[in-house]
Amino acid sequence: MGAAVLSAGGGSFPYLEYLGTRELFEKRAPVTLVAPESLPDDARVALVAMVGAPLPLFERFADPAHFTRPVHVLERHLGTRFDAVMGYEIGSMNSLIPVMVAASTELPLVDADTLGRSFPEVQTSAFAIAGLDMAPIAVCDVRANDLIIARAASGRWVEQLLRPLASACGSVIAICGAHSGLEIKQHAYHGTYSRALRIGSAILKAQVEHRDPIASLLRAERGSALASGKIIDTERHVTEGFVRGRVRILCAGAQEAIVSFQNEYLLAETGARRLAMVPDLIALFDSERGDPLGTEALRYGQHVTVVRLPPMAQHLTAKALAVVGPRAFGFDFDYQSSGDEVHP
Amino acid sequence: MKRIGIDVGGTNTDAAFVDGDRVMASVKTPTTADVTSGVKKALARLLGESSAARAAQAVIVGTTHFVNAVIERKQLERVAVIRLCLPASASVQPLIDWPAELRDAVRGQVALLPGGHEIDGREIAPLDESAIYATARRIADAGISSVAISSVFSPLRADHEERTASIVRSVLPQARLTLSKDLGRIGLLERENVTILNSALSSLAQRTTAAFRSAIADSGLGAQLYLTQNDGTVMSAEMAEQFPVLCFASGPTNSMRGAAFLSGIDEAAVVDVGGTTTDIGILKNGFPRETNTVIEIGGVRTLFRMPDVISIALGGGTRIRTAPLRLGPDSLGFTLVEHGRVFGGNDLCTTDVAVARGLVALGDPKRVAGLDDQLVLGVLDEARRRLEDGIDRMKTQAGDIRLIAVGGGSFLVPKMVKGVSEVVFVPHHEVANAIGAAIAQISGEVDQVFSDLSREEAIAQATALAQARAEKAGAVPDSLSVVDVEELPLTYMPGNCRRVRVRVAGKLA
Repeated sequence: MGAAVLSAGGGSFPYLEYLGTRELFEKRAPVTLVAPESLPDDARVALVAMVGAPLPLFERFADPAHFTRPVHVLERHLGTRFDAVMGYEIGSMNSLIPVMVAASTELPLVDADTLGRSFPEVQTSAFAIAGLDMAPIAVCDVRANDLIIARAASGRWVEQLLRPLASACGSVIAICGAHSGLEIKQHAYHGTYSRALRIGSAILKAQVEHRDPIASLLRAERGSALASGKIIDTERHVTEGFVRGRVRILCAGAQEAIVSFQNEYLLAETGARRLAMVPDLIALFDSERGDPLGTEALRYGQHVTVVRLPPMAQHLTAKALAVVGPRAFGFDFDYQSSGDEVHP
Repeated sequence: MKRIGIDVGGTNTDAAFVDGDRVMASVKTPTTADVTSGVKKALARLLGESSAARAAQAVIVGTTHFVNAVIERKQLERVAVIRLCLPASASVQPLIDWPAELRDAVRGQVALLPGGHEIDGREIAPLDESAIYATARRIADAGISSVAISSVFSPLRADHEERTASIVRSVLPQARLTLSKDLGRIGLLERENVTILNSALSSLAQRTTAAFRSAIADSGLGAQLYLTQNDGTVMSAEMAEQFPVLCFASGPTNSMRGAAFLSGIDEAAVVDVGGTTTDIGILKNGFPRETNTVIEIGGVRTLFRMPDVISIALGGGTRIRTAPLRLGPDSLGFTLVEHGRVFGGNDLCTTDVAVARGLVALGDPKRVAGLDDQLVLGVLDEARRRLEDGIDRMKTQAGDIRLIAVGGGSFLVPKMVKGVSEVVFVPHHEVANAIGAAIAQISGEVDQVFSDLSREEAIAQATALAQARAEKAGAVPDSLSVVDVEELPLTYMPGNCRRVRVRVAGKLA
């Protein structure tokens, strides 16, 4: 649930992956979550993720064995064993894949990721921003196809190589990269699993106790509710492999709020006033149940609440804003914060 | 066309005779434990009121029989499940998230075999025919005769399910097979769930439709039998026999369709005030607006087409307690005519208050003549507040909308309601659900991914497919119109992919 919030619209509650993980936990020992600070500098950490489109996973369920394979492929390539598992992205289903892999390999899971939320492309990762070498990366199809990207010119090139591979393999591939304990300590976003768990339990606990889940989340994460009302229009179009669009929300007093998205929510505004913008974490919730809504789940007539959670401090540096700020997504203005808070 | 509509609800079995656009007769009878004899009784009374009903060409039944079987875990049979998916999709097994007692009642055998397709139509793996033969023989040895077959992305390509079905049939000629491609949207787990539920109901469906047929024949009618489905349209008894799961939500759907017909209004909110609860829904193009979220039936996730309806605890039998004043949530239910104050009993309920206020003439008004005015107004105010709340939750526009009030307890709906421009009361409102069944249309639906087509071309192709499906189900081609279009571009997909859902509906031939 927390991961769905951190996906900022990139996905809803990952029910199927949750089922798969629950099933795995019945057969395996529980996963140990370790703080990145506790990693030795020379620890070998396997970074894993699903690359592709979310839709095929509604038919071809994320399989722990499939997502564990590139870890072993990379181990063979490097001639070494991994000490721990970590995820590239804490958002939605990609938060559960490292859990599945950690359970399958019986390795500890590092409480960190490289995006701090969801962003659409590889170059927005903390490692790419820091200029770290992303290669080698092992790629596995669900069949007996394994590949290694031995060298990549840049983070952007990793993105450009992985997309066509995903298409060729049914739009779902499992990937694994290798990074050291030192790199993770210096560049990854720490504590993101703990944060997702905190957010999830704030919402779920409030739902069970019939309290307001959104208010409970805002208190826990120092967020603010920007607008609340009914969706009167949802516009979506695909360009360059992304779902871009905007949703119009009719609020009390006939005021209209507009949220624009490119896979993830980017900008919330009313009239000429910008309420929140990327890298603020913008999320939409079902006003009544308090469930986070991905852009795919939005529909005409839904009662929704638009929420802003503070951005991560690391996303506000000039170097980071160049890839995760409004201009990186085609807007013609610079980032301006609508609150003083930053995370953590 | 002359039609008889029958709604078999939990409390009442209602019947109505409709000729063209006119309601000629209607009756309300208690539902019997044995559904069939209740239908016979309703038909006998209806024919007593209007002998012209004998000339009806169609009897259209809306029933909660199948959904109740799932909810009560009764009369279900064991199912063998074959999923064509390997090497993918093995991590989430069939029936994995079903309530344990339902799974125990339904799970016969489960086999995961190679097969299924990618989103672009390529095979995940070729079928392993010898494995399918072996599985079919194991099913036969276990004495199971109901088989559910699912395959990855079968709404896009059905050939693996079809080939598997023909192999199973060659080993088990008598088996009843359900293929997920016939029930489905994208979402393997939910589509498979519905396929398995359908298999579990397949012999009950045969018995029930046979019983409806004999009730019609025994009543001396020569009419064709139809059943209503979740979206307010009908299907032939033969279709219902094959796909009983499609009948799950006919109750609220029929009452909303009946409300649209009786009022002549296509865009409005509808309240159906029953004995225990009030259903509130929204009519769009004369059809109930549907939910977009996952619907659970008896604890099982499905992707059903279901009307978006909320139920609030307010009905004609809602019990009233005083000091402090409290409405419900319990109801006198079918004991209303015994325990209600105006009927000679000692319990106080909303109907008593309505009689005291002169909103409806029922029972003996003298028995409530002494009720405190404050109490009466307090109860009606609370009823109004609950209705206004519910309507506001369902509304999709800021402005006022029209409201159609139907159901036996609709006298509780005030003439002025906040957020409502006009409250419309209609004759025959107490049997709106049976009338909704009588006037139900035939529909066809397509939900598929299209690639390398423009948005307009994809929607046009989907519409043509939906029309062909509706015609095959028995609709008059000229009467078909589009009732819903939904289009979703697919992220990261090559070739301009979009998922398009189109639904058309038209008159019964």
